[in-house]
Amino acid sequence: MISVYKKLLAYVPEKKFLAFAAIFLSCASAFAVVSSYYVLYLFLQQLLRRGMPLQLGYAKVFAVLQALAVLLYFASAWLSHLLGFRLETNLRKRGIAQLSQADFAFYDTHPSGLVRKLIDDNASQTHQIVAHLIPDQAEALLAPVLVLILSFFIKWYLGVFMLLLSLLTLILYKMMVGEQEFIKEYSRLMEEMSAEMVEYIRGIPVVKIFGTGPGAFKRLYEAIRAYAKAVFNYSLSCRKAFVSFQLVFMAIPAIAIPCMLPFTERLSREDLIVFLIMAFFLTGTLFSSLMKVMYVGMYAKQGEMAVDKLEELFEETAQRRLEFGDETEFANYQIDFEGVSFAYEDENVLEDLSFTLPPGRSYALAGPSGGGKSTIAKLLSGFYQVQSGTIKIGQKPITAYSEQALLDTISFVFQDVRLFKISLYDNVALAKPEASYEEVMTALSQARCDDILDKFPERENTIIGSKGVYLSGGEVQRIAIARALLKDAPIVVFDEATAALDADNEFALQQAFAELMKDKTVIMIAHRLSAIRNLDEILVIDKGKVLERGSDEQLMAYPSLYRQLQINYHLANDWEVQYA
Amino acid sequence: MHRLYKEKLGLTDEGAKGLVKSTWASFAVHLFNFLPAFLLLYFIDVALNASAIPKIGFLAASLLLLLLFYFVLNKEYILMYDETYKEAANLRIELIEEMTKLPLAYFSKHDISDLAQTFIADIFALEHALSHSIGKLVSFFMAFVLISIMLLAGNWKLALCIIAPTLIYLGMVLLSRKIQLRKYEHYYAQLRENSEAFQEAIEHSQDIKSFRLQNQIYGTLNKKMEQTEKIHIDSERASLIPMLLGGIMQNLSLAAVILAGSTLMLRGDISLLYVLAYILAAIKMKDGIAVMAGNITELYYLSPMVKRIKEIREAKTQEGSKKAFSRFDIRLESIDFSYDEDTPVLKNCSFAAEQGKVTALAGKSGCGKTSVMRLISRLYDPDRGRIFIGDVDTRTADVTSLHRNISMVFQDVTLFNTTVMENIRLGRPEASDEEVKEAARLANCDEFIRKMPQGYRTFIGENGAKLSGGERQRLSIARAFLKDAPILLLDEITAALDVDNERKIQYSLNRLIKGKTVIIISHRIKSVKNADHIVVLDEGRVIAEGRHDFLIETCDLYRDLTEKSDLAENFVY
Repeated sequence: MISVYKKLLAYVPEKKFLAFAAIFLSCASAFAVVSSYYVLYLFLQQLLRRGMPLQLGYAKVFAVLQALAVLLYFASAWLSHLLGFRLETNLRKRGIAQLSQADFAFYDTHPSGLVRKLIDDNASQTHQIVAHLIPDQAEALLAPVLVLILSFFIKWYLGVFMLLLSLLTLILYKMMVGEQEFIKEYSRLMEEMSAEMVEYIRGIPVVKIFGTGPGAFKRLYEAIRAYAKAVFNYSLSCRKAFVSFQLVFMAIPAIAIPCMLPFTERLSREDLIVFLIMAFFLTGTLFSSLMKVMYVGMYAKQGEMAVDKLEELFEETAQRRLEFGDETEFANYQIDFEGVSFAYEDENVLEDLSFTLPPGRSYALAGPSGGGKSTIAKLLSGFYQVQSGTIKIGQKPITAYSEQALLDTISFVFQDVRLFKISLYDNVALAKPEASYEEVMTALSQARCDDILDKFPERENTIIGSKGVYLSGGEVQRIAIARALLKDAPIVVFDEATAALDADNEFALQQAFAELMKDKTVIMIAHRLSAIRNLDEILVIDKGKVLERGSDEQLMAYPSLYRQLQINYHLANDWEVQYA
Repeated sequence: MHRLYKEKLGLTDEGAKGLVKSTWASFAVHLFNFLPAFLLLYFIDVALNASAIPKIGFLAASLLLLLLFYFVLNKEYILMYDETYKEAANLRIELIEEMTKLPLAYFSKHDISDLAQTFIADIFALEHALSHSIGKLVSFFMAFVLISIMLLAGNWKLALCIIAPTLIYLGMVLLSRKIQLRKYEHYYAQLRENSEAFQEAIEHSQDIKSFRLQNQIYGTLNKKMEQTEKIHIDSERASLIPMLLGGIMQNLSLAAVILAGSTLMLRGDISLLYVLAYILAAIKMKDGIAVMAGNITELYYLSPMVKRIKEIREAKTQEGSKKAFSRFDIRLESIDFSYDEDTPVLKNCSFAAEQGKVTALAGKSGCGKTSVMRLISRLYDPDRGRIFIGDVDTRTADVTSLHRNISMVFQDVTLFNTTVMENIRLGRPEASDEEVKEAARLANCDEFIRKMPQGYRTFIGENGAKLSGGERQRLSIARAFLKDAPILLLDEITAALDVDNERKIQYSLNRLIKGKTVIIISHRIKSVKNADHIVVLDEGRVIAEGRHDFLIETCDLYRDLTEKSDLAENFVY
C-alpha cells in the first residue's frame, strides 16, 4: 500500500504536502464521526434514564460533529483531487519529456496511437485513483479501529461483541475474495477472450465479404464460453460467503439479541437496550468501512498497474536515450560502417556489417524489401542505437558529434514524410529558420513544387491540414525535397518512393531529386532500377549484407545478382494485362 | 420496467427479463433490511415494559429471521450475479452477431482496433452495472417510496426528518452531476484538443527532432496540459458545493431525528419507543444511501457506453434481399459520392464494364479510382445514382449474395490468426484441402508455404504478422483463385512490393483474370494499355473512355499521363 503512494508521490514532489494534509483531514473526519457516536451513546443513556430531565445539548453536539465530519472529509477529498490533477499533468509532461528522448527505433516499433493512449489513459486513471484513494483509505482503515476502541470504552462486552464480529467478517471477507489462483486464471481467460474479440471484429468486413468466417471464430466462441464459465463458477463459489457477509450486517439485531439473552438478568434493561442500539449503529459504520477497504484495495491495485505501465514506457524510452558528443567539425564526409549490428526488438536486421563510402560520390542501395537497405539509411541519422559496431562520418563515430552538427550535415527524404499543420511556406522554412523569402521560394521551385502551389489560391500560405487541402504522397515528398534543398547539407539520404505514385508525380519527383543530388554525397534507396544506372556505385543489399558493389557497368558485365534484379525489373515493368 | 430496461440499457429481451427479476429480489432485500429493526424495537418494548423477557420466543424469532433473510439474500445473489454471469456468454455472442450485421462502411469509417477495444470495455462495464448497480438502485427507489409512506403514516414530523434530507441529498447528487456534465463539456473539448496535439507530436517526433522543434512543440503541449489542469479544477469545484451540501444534509438526518424526537417526547407527543424507532430508521436509511451513492456514479459513467452499444444495435443495416445474378456487366449510373459532406469524391460518374472483359481505371492520385471499387463492392453506398451488375441494382441485393460474385484483391489484406490453409479456404469454405493447395499453386504461394515450419498447417500470427507484404498479397490472390468469382476487382495490388514479388504476382494474375469481368487500377499505365476498355477519371468525373490508341489521340490527360510515365521510366539520375 505504502509503496503505491511512494511511487505516485514521486511524480508530484511539489505537492506532496497535499497528500499529508489530505490524510490528516480524513483522519480528523474519522475522529469526528466516531466521537459523534460517543455523544450519541451519551444521549441514548440519558434518553433511557426515564424521569430525568432530557437535555438537547447532546443532540446538538452530535449534529455539529456529524456536519464537521462531512466538511473535513470533503476538504480532504478536495486536496487529494488537487493532488491528483497535478499528478495527472505531471505524468503527461513526463511522458512527453521521455518520448522526446527516445531513439527512432522506438517510433518504428510503437504505433503512435497506442503510445498516446497509454500515456493519456493511465495518467488520467492515476488522477482518479489518487483523488479517491487518499480520503477513503485513511478513513476506511482508521474508522474500524476507532469504532472498536469506542466499543470497549463504552462497555467491555460491546467491545468483545464488536471484535468478534470484526473477526467473523474478516474470515467471510477472505472467503469471498477467493483464491489468488482463480484471479490469475480469470485474467488469463479475459485477456484471451479480448484478443480473440479484437481479431474477430477486425475480420468482420472479410467475413461479410466471403459470407462466412474461418474456423478461427470457433475459438472466439470457445474463449467467450470459457470466460463466462469461469466467472459463473467464481460467482457460485463466492455466494455463501457473500450472502453470509451481508446477512451479518443487515440482520445484526437477530444476532445481537440471542447473544444477549443469557445475560438479561445480569444487566440492567437500560444497558441492554443501549448495547443493542449501539451494536446496530456501529456495525453499520463497520460495514461501510469494510466495503470501502474493498474498493480502496481495488483502486490501489489499479493505480499501481497504471503507474507500472507508464514506468515501463519511461524505462524503455530511457534505455533508448541517445548519446551525442560535442564535435562540430567534420574532417570530411566519408561514411564508414564498422561491424555494425542492429535489431528491432528480437529481429536482427544487420549483423556485423562493414563498408566504406568515400565522400562526394553517389550511391544506390538495391535489393529485395526487408533486406536492410532502409535500415542502413536510417542508422546514419544518429537517431538509432546500434547493438554493436561503429558508424563513422569523417573517420569519427557519429556519437562524437553534437546533435546539431549531425542535423546540419545530413538531409533525409523518406517515404513517410509528414507535414506540420502550418503553412506550406513554414513547412519548408523549418529547415533553415534564417532563410529569406526568396531562398524558400527558390527551393520550392527547384523541387518542382510550383504545380502544387498552383492548386491552392493561398499558394505558399496554404495551411496544411485545413479543409480541402489534399496533398498526395508524391507531393508531400517533393515538399520534403524543397526542405532538403534549403538546408543544403553535404550528405543526402533519399528513399525513393515505391508507393503508388502516379506518373505525373513520379517524374516531377525524379527531377526534384536530381536537383538535390548536385555536388553532394548521395545515398539512395532505389526502387526504380532503371534510374540508377549513372550513379557512381551500386550496393546490392540482402539479409543485412552488402553482397555486391560496383558501377552499373561493372555489375552488368557478369551474371551478378544486380543483373538479375535489373532483368526482373524490366520484365515486371513491361508486364501487360493479358487475357484469353 | 421490462420495456424501460430494454430501451434505456439497450438490453435483449432475455437480459431485460433477468434484470426485472433481480430488481424484485433486491426490492425484497431492501424491505427485509428493515425487519431486524422491528425485531429490535419489539425487544426494546418488551425490555422496557415487561417484567420477564421471553427468551425462547426471541431466540426462535431471531433464528427464523436469519433463516428467511439468508434465503432472500441468496435468491437475490443468484438472480443478480449468477444470472448475469450465466448470460455473460450470451450477451457477448449476441452483440457480436449484431456487429456482423453492420454495414461495411461502418468498419471503413471507424478505426477497427479502436472499435474492438471500446466494444470490449463497454461490455465489461455494462456487465458490471447489470450485476452490481442497476437492479439495486431501481429497487432502492421503489423501497424508498414504500418505506417513506410507512414512516409518514407513523409520525409525519419525524418521517420528514428522515425523508427530506435524503431527498435533498439525492437532488444535490443529481444537480452536481448536471453541473459536472455541463462544465465537463468544456473540459473534454480541451482534452480532445490535447490528445490531438499530443498524437500529432508523437507522429511528428522524428521531424521535430530533425528540425529541433522540441522546445517549441513540447513547450506548447506542456502549457496545454497546465491549462487543462486549471479547467479541470474549475469544473470539479463547481460540482463540489452541491455534493458537500448534500453530504451534510444526509449526515444531519440522524441528528434531526434525535433533536425533533426528543423535543416531541419532552412535549409528551410521542413515546420513547417512537423516538427509538425513528432513530433506527434513520440509521438504516443513511447506511442504505451511502451504498447507493456509488451505484448512482456507476450509472452516470455507463450512459455513454450504453449509447454506443445501442448505436451498434440500431445502426442501419444494408438493405437488400438475396439475388441471383445471371449477367456480370457492371454499370455505374450518375454516381455522386463523398466520404464527408464537404469534399465530393465522385461527381455524376457513369461508365460500364463489359462482362468477361478487362476495364482499367486511369487518372491522377486522388481522382476517385479506389472509391469506384469500394462502391461496386458495396463497402460504401453512393449518395446518388445506381450501380448495376447485369440487370440487378446492387442496392437491392444483400451483401452476401453480391460478394458471392465478386473477388477483391486490394492493397491491404486481412488475415486471421489461424493456419495458412484456413486463411486461403476463406475464399470458398467448402473447398477441399486439395483445391486449396491447387489455388495456392496457381497464385505462386506454394513455394513459400512449403518452406514454412508446418507447411499449410502453419499458424500465421495475429493478422498474419509473420508474413511479408508480398506473401500476404499472394495469399489473397490464392483466395481469389479458390473463389473463382465472375467479377474481379484489382486495386494497385503490386504497388508496394519489390520486383521479385511483383513478378510472381503478375504471373498468376494473367491466369486469374481469364474469362472474368475485371476492373483494374494500376499505377503503371503501361501494364493496362491492352485493356479492352480504359476509363479516365479526373476529379471524380469520367472525362474519357475507350481503348488505349483512341485515348492517346483524344484525351489530353491520358496522353499526358502516358508520356510522363514514359519519362519517369526512362529517367536516369
